[in-house]
Amino acid sequence: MGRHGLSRPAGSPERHPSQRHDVWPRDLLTGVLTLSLETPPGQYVSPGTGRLALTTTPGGEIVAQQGARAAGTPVLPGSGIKGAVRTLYELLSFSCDPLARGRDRCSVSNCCDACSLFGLPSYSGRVSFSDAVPADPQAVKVEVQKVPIPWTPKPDRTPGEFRLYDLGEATFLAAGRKVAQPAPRILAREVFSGKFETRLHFSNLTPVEIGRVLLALGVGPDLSPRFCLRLGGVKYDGKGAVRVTPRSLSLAGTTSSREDEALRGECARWIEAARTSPWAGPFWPKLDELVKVLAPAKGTEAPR
Amino acid sequence: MSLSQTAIVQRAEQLAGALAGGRTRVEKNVLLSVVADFMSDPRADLDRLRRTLKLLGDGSGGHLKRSTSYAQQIEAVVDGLGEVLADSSLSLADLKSLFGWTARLLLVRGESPPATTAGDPPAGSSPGSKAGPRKEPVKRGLGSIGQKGLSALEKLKQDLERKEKG
Repeated sequence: MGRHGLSRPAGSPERHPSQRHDVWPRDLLTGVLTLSLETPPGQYVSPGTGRLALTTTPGGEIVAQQGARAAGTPVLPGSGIKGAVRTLYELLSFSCDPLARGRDRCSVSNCCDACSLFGLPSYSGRVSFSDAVPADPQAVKVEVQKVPIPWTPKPDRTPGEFRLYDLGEATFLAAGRKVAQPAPRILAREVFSGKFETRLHFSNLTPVEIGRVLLALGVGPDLSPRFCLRLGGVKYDGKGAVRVTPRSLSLAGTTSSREDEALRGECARWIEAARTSPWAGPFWPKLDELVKVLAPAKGTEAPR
Repeated sequence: MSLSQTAIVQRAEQLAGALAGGRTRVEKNVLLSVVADFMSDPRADLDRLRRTLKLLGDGSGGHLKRSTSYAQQIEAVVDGLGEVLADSSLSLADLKSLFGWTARLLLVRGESPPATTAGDPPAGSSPGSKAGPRKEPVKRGLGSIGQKGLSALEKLKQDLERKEKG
């Protein structure tokens, strides 16, 4: 397990008036991008609910921390996906401190890149995610796993504005030992593995903005997953990784949805727009740094 | 037969007193984490809740190993709810109402100095390590609600009594 501290390059937030929601200018992009979220082998996601529920397992009934559901179906809440993407988008932009007060705070008429896209109090933003649901009824496996007991992180030991866990398992150093041992797995927790699908709704985005969102989702220039987005609990044990792949695209003003080659071409064009924009100068090296932390270790990749 | 709201609030006061006056003050979230399934289930499966409490008390799922404070809270909830469930005069709707009021009262009590939350183990603990030395338990009676909380509760009771008298 590793906890990594990453910071933005030096610079201050750049603020602009927010985009309106009530009109869709022709030169901006509005639409829905369907994304597939798939857990790599050996991985699972576990969005918690805070509930302890009686769960039936092959070994009998057990009380486990319950995973999120909507009408009985396992889901990855859209709010969690949006939060995870926003965090990485903030790391990859000169954005504000959302908890700042006074003049350092963003407002509707004067907001930073992340607030303009993901929203701030009194402005709903231009990007949202629906709850991710199983791609088909058999696509997601629900099981109870034993996970290590979480512990309070020590921020002073991981300097940096953003702290991220890699995909390594939790370890601890027992008294008198020099080699870290795997943390004992004690808590029963409901976990999901398999393939989910979510819809990314966006309005009035520039190609550069949507390209940057795709990059923050872990999508690479060739549209293959470059790193795993981390969702739900048990991240401290290297879990919660999902690979994001665009599946289809519907743009306002067009009649048919785009898939396969047409979709790939459009997404690649947006990512290229981001890569060749002034944003890439300071932030592309930071993206490479992020990839090193969040990419699966060599040899654990699923065959494609 | 369903109890009156006044009677349920009185029972909730007793239950909250028992949960808050033990070795560790039970937090609202810990109580709700145990009864949430029961409360949100339209069928309100009482037998399932009983089995959950029994298994939790027996250490199922390893939740009692989470931290000393959390384990004490779970044990208090298992004991406290066990007594309530043994009372056959309470209907399913009464039980839901009772748990809701009890959670509310625990929240009011929680406005006094904070303790460890259900989601966070005590600071300084690490995987595999035991929780630090146990602090001297703080006994809290109804007085710990505070003057503001008490008067709000009193007003609520009077309103309910007035409503029931017509």
